[in-house]
Amino acid sequence: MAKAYVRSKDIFLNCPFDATYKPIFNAVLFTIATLGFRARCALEIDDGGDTRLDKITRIIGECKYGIHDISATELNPAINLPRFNMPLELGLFLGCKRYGSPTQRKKSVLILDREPYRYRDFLSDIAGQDIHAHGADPNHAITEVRNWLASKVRPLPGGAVIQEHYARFSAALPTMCADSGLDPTALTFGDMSLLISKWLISAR
Amino acid sequence: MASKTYHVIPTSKGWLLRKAGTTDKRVFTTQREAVASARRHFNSTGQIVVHDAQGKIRRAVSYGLPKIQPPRAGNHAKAMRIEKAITSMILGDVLSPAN
Repeated sequence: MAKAYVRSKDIFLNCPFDATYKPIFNAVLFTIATLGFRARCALEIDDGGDTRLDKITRIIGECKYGIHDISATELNPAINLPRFNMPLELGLFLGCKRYGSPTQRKKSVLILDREPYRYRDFLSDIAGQDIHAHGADPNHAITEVRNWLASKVRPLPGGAVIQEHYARFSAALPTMCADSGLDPTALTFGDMSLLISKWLISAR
Repeated sequence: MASKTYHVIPTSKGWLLRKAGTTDKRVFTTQREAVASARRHFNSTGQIVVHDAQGKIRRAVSYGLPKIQPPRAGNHAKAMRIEKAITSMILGDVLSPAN
């Protein structure tokens, strides 16, 4: 694999992409952008020539930071199995941090779950990592991500400020979508990233 | 908490300076005066957005706030549409006489 250039402002976002999780996903995406970072995830490129794992490993290699939400442990009722993608991607990130070049070893990771210490029952090997609970609450997730990044970079706006900006952004979102011809219920990762960054530049 | 964004917009009477989300507004002869006045309004953190006559953002400068990174994803045409929609919404709010 070609040597990855690690970008100090890029954050790998490893979260569920389903509708149930969307409020947390959008809040985390907004927090990352507000704090001057760039969210990266497997959804950013739709390239048929790139396998999903190639895409993920390339993005992981390029990101200094990683936010991994391991809260999606529910069984899929159709097959009676949970999704294992999130733990797999967390493992890739931790492996890159452990065995990579000196630059890759400087990676930093935040692991999120719904409840504190729940991970001990299904992913006990990650004990000792930076694991925080968001309680399935977008505002709580904003504060957790903000506090984690504030320990890496200073100074940063407070969690309450970001929550207030996020509330204003969320209120304006339907209008912005209508005016730009986008369906608010079917926004892609790229659409949402663009909407957030353009809104922040003109209204934060 | 109100926005810390000040908009500078050319109008027929001069350069309008307005803080987003408030009723505060002043008109200046030059853009430079409007920007200098906006800068004096915030102590350490805030941003100044200068628009052209069509409302499009010509320049956005932030002070003490994290610099917004352009997203890696998204196509140019969609970005233009989104920017136009947001500019239109912001301008509607800023230029609204009721605001």
